[in-house]
Formats: sequence, C-alpha cells, structure tokens
Amino acid sequence: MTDRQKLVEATGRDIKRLEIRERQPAGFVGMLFYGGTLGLLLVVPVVAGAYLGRWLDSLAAGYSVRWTVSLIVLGVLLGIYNVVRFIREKT
Amino acid sequence: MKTFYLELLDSRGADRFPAVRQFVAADASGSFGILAGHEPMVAVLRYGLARFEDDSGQWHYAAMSGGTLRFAGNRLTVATVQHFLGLERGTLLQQLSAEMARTESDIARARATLTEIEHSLLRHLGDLMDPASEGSLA
Repeated sequence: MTDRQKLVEATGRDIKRLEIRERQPAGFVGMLFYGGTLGLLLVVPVVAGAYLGRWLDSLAAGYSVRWTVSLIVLGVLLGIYNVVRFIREKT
Repeated sequence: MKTFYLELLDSRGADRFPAVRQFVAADASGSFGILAGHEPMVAVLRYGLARFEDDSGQWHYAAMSGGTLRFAGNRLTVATVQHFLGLERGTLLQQLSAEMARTESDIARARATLTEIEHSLLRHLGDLMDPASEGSLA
C-alpha cells in the first residue's frame, strides 16, 4: 500500500468514526448536564432578579412590589435569551 | 474564548490561522485536543484527519500524512509531508481521493516518459555500437 492510499484510507476511517460519534445519542450523564445547565441558565436570573427586587422594594417607603415584579420579568427574559444562545451555540 | 496561532506546514507551503479556539488530532496513543494556553508539547501525528475550530466557530478539517506537532508560546506548528484542508468532511475525502488519483496518474506518466527516454537512449547507444550503421551515422 502506497502512502497516498494509506492517507485516503486513514482519513476515510476517521471521518466515518467522527460521523458515528456525532450521530450517537447523548448518554444519561450528558443529558443530565445539558438539562441542568439549561435549567440553571433560566432560573438563576429569575431568582437573582426576585431577590434584588425584594431588597430594592424593602428600601422604598410603604408597600411596594414594583421592583420585584419588574426584575422577575427581566430575569425571565434574560433567562430565555441565555437558553436560546446556549442552544444555538451547541447546535 | 481564548485563541492561539496555528501554522500548518507541508512540502508545498504553509497555511496560517491567527485565531484558533481548539485543535483536535491523533497520535499513536489516540485522539487529543489542544486549547489556548496549553503547556508546551510535542507529538508525532498519525495518518488521518485533524480538525480545528477558528474564532468564528467554523470547523476546518485537514487530512494529514502523519507529521509532527509542536505547541509552545500559544503557537501551534504542524509539519507534514502533505496536508489537505477543507471545510466539509464529505467533500474533503472526495477532493483527497481525486488529488491522490491525479498524483498517481502524474507519477505513472512520468515513469512512462522515463522508460521511453531510457529505451530511446539504449536504441541510440546500440546504433552507435553497431559497426553496420557506422556509414549511415556518418
């Protein structure tokens, strides 16, 4: 076998191996990490917004939930944006 | 994401990529990857496919006939006899096969020409040595 044939054969084998690996479904641990990351990306900004909003409202005179509601909504939007960006990057 | 400089050298020239995120290749022990800031290393690559991702997220594929790899000072240098670059794995194999077939055909043609020259040379030498043809040569 010449070097040229060896190169074509080895490259073909590597490409096939790569394609098989990419087609394989993710394992349980992989899915767990992926799902966990998505959950965290969505939830962390919402919870952070809620806490920050609650603290800002406590500083205001009288009863107020303006900051809490606004920052929770902002957190939800930010979480959705994070999740979309993460999925786009991964695919 | 941090990047590093990649230089692919072969007998025909060099291909340079100033910002590469990761490089994946294989040596005798198996497949390995390199990220920016990796410790200095040297490896002897095996025949086959290497791949790397540039700063725009685009993957490049390179078929390599073995070679050596050196990473130092955030600069990766891969020296091979021949490498073939492509953005698509499927077409890379087709291009590679076509290029190899072309090379084989060029070599076969060169060999045939060489044999023809040799035969012609021997014929002329035979003519020179043959006393019967002396008159015709003069």
